[in-house]
Amino acid sequence: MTLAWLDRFHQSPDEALNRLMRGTALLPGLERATPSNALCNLFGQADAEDRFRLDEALQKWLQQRREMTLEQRRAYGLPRFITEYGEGLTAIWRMSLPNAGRWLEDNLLDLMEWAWPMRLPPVWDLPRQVALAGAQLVTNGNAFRFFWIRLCREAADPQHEDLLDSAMNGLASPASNDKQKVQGILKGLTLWAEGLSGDEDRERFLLQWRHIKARFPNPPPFWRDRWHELLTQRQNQEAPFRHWLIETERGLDNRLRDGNVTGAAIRLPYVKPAIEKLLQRAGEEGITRPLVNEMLQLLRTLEAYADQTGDCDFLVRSACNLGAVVVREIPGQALEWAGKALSWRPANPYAWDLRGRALYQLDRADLAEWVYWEAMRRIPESAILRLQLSRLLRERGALEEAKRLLEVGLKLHPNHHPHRNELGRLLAHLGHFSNAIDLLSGQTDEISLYLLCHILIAEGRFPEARGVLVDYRAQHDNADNIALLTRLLDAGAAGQREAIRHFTSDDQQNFRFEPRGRPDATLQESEIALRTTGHDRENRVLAAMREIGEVAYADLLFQLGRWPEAEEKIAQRLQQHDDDEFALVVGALHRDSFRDRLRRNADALPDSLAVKLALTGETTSPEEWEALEKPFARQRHLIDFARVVYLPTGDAAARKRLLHWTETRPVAEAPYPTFLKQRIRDILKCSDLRDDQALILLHDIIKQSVEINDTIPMVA
Amino acid sequence: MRPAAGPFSRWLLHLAGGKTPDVHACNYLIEERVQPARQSRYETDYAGSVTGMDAWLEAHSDYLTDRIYQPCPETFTAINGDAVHSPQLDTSLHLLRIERLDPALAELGLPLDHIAHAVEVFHNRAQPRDPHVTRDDIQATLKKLAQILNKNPFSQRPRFAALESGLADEMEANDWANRLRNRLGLAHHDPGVAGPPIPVALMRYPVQSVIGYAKTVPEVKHPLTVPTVLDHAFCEVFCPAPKEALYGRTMDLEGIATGRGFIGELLHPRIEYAPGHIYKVGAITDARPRYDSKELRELHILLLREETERHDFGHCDQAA
Repeated sequence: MTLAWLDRFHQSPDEALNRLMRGTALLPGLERATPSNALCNLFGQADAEDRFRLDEALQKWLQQRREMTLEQRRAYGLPRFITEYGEGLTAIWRMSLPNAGRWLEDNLLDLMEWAWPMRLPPVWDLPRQVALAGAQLVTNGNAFRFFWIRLCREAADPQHEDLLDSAMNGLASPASNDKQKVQGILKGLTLWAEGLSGDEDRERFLLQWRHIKARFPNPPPFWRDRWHELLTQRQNQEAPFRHWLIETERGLDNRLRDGNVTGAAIRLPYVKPAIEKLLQRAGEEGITRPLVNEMLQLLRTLEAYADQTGDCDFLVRSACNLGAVVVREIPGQALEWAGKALSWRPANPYAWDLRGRALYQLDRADLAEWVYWEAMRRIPESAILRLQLSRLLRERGALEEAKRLLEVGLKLHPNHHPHRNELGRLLAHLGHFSNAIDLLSGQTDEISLYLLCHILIAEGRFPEARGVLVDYRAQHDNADNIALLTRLLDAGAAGQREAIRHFTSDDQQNFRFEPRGRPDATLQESEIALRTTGHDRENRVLAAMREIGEVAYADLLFQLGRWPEAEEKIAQRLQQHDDDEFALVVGALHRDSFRDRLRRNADALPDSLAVKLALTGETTSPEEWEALEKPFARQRHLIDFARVVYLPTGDAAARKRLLHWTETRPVAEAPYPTFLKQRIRDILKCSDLRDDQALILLHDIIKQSVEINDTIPMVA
Repeated sequence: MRPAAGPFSRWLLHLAGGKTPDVHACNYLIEERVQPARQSRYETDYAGSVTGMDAWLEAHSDYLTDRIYQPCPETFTAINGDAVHSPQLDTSLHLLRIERLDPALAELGLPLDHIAHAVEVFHNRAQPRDPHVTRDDIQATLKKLAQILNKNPFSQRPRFAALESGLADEMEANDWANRLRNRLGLAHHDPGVAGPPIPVALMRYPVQSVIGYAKTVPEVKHPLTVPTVLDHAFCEVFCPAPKEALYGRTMDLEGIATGRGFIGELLHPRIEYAPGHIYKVGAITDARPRYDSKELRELHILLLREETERHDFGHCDQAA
């Protein structure tokens, strides 16, 4: 009956398989079968040789498909592409094809990164298919624990909830018995539930929990024992899901209900004293190989703890702290630790900072800059990343750009002293002493006072400088600084000239991003650096960041009014990738021509809130605003914010909803919503919403919600 | 449906007029419900220059991608007005579908008998086997199963559904899955002689729920249509129904000799399944009947002619 296709397959397996996967093969009787069902039917009883051929052809087909560009995929039809690729993955695990299965296991992380943006609600969801295939096929479960843990957490976002079952199954996969399996699944459930807080979330949690109970029928003591260990863990003590569970499950014993739990919790290593001891020794002995080995040993222990419990905070913090200590001597090692931290916590600004610093110390300031651009786009609430990027820009002479970044940063973080001080220093360098003085006046932190005094001397305002020095001396006891300022004041005009020279000279020493270290050959640094920077994957990631960084830089140039330069950068990017969402969105935020272009491409990006918001404005009608709310119901607050920014006096209902949203409790461990709530609350209090602040924040929100395509990995 | 004069028309007529007429060419020619505007678009934009089967399959696949496998298939829009089902359809009637469960079971991590039991408990046809598992727990599992089925990318395509009437015996039989597979003409659910059973769910939902759900999609003008040759991939166990028939007709894999009546079938847009829609869960265990597709089709057309008194229907050489 289907012999004609099988003959074709024997003659040309790749071509025949391609036709079958694309639904263009003639398969009498199987026409309505999905491709994976058809393959199961055709090869279920096939001999080993035919199965081997299929295994090879399918692996090749998946690899070739993987190489299609975004434009090719869009031209082909994204829903069709996602459906067919998902069927290919499904066929691997349903037919237990060994070669393709090994390929999938070897490439699971890359595949997930690539697939991540390929999700078109309500039914086309390639990340879900990748996760499902991974959970079915991965045999080396322990090596992927961090991945499954990450996915469990990602699934707390309702858009990604469909990853949860596979992620929990992945966590449970190495288990040798049912008890361990349940423990793995409950672990996944708690990691997911840590990100839940509202009433809707309660229902989501209870649905998952009840399903697990139905899946593994067991008496209450069984569940009490399983939960006992999990609920005693640090991060679960105050989580709302604990209360939801206890309210619902009367069978959990009193100790859990009262929260007075004892016993089986996994013991944490004594992290804080251990880190302090290592830091102290680093200060006393310098960075030595034995010390680095001890650091590595501690991080291994913390990673094992994270593997076991899913609680990776200690690992991430320690990797960042230790990395910061060694970054000048062994930047390659620090880069590796930054990567480790980011693989667990991709939105950790300190890990991104460590990555940027390490690259800088490896003489790759160019790469470091792109890292900071991308980090800032991803984590716009981080003051430190913006500050560091401004320092890098300053070092390479892009002073105007650095100044703009700091000015915006100070609006977003008005109490962040390092921002203020950095901006003051930069203004002084540009000769704008009085502006710098205005900026720093009234501050009491040590550096502000010191800088203010120094700049007052440069401006020749000696009596005021003396007054500030008195304050400085009263509050701070930095003898070197006091001596310097006193000497300059005593020197009068000569002191003023020296102060002017200090601030305005182009001496590179004053403009270093940070002091360069001296790598120690005995630390085998070169080998590590080679391993980390020479890695294909890292290079691919950095190359992608460069492309995104160029667009982010263009955004800054737009803000500075340097339109021709900015437009050229966006145009260059669009010449390479004519439907690059980030470039189109950034362009549309500033220029009508790009806005028209984005409007023409909008149909191909139906689930992108960034695109929709970038196309809104003062002339958006109430009907158009309302049309946005249904498909993006979970992000209604962002839509409301855009609406309020563009129609500050004309939309009381949106304003009211927005205010209500700012008063609700943010999801646990979600710094961006917390930051947004605070900032939006502050902005709503202002009488004039059309000022810079509101628009800057709105643009940040829009840029942050662009889902960068397949080039930027989820596992950074 | 007579194709416009041109290479496609010549090739199609040749294919249908041979000693062994090609079933897909014949289906195209005997189709009576495709509006001229729709046909014209199909032939102008996709199939007009086709003169070979591979090329036709490619063109048809492109058409399906562009026009049918979309959030709102053109099957349910104004351009398919001639295939609209009679508005007199009783909305309290129930529709049936068979859904495969293999990937869903893997995702849920559950064996088939576990789900089957859960469905029986949910519909009060059995008591929970385990005293520690509540009805709420069971409902949660079925809700998750429904969610997974709702995420099936193929669910966005026009959904074939059968009218329940005339299927009571099959639905209540112990081997309901095998019997319904045959009655509904689902030849592709075939475990073969030695293959593993195919886990399936019998979905049962009222016509009203389809109409209600379709109202949430503004582009949908006609939520219930009679299947035409353009609404899906070519299929040898599909035959268009004459325009006088109220419904499409499933092709019974066991043939007409059994003396059973036709089962009506319709297309409707994707709906969101709820736990209550999962009526039964079981497995297709038997290989599909070894039918002769030519004979099966001839008998099917014969019965269609008798039922609609359209004795000229289905002669693809005459249609040509």
